[in-house]
Amino acid sequence: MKVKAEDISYALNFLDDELIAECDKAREEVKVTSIPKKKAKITSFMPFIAAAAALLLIGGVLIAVLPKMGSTTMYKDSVSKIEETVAAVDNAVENEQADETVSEEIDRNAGDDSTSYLADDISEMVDSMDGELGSDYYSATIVPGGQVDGILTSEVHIACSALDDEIYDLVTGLGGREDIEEEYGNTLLSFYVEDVPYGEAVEYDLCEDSDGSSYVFVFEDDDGKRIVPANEDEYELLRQLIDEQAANSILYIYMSEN
Amino acid sequence: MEDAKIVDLYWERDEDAINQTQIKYERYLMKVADNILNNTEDSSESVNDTYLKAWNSMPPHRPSMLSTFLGKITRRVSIDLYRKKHADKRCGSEYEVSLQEMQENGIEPAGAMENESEYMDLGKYISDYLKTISEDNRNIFIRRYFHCDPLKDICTSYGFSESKVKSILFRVRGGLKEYLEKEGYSL
Repeated sequence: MKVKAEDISYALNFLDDELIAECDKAREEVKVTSIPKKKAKITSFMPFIAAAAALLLIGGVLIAVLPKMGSTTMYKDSVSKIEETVAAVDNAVENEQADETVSEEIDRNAGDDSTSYLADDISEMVDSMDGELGSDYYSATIVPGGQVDGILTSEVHIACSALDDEIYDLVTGLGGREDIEEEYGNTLLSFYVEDVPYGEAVEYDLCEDSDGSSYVFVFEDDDGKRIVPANEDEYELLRQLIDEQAANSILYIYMSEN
Repeated sequence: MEDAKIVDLYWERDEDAINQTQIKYERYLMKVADNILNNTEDSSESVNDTYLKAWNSMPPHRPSMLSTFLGKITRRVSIDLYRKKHADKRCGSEYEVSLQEMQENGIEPAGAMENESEYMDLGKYISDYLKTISEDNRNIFIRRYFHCDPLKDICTSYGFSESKVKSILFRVRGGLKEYLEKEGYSL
């Protein structure tokens, strides 16, 4: 029997009530959960900054005035304590500012639509998501080695310290390949790459061609959906990456020029 | 008021049933209608028709999920109105866009079926297929193609990028096409 798009849409009126109710419930409940960033705490730290400034001022006055008044042991102790307090507050402010810098770094890398988390949160989040998302597709977060330990978007929670040069070249080189006029069949692997030199976030599907005899990559760039050829070695390379780094979870490949 | 009590009011032929339905579900139903019709006046007409149809169908019906029951009526009435009013010209609604998306998977536009039982069978197969995929993917599909929610709303809810949601939808549509073809449908 012939089925067209409007038929499918109209037939959805006969969808199981339970499925719709479940969706409605999720629709009301689902919200991106963001672990509060340390950056958010900076505002509550403002009193410390004010206190630090005040102490510096008082400390400065005392240091300037006390020698003239005669430096007794008691005065020396007082000055010493004030200086220690000022130093401690200064350190706290510096640490907080450093944390904020890290947070901002993560924000910038994760993109506007993403929810970012500090590295400490990652393993727990990965554990909680592991298995729920299924293994039908993968994505990974990959950031330049040493920049930050990891990036967590609302969806993807794995950070890889480095991307193998060979894979990087392969993935970024796909955009330069000539399109082929080929139908594709089964999708074997899927992954995302952001900030590639061509286009924005790109999903790559590694597929078998229509007769299953070779591989093709399917992705979108500024010119729209494209199909380019891939060979068995390239397929194996990516399959190994996915298998090793993201079995049963989502691997989000994030490439940054940073 | 609880759904069961509202349904009781319908069964008692108490007109307060409609008031209570309006209070609880008008916003939800207007959203369903407007996603299809993209016109407030038409959407109001569609929602009012929903109340009338609900009044006429209870009794004999006693829906266990009133929101779903009403949502399906609104959806059906809205699609009928859409077909009536926009046979020749487009209105730019999310419903329209969602139909166009199916063409990306090689599913032809327009409709080929004619009777209710065919739609019911197809609906059952779609339900069966959706039960085989992950809950998130299923809900995203239902939000897009049953509720006709805009992509950006879905992205916001899930914290997914637009390309991510598009790709999920592409895969689910592809899977559905494959599933229906195995069941003997031709797409």
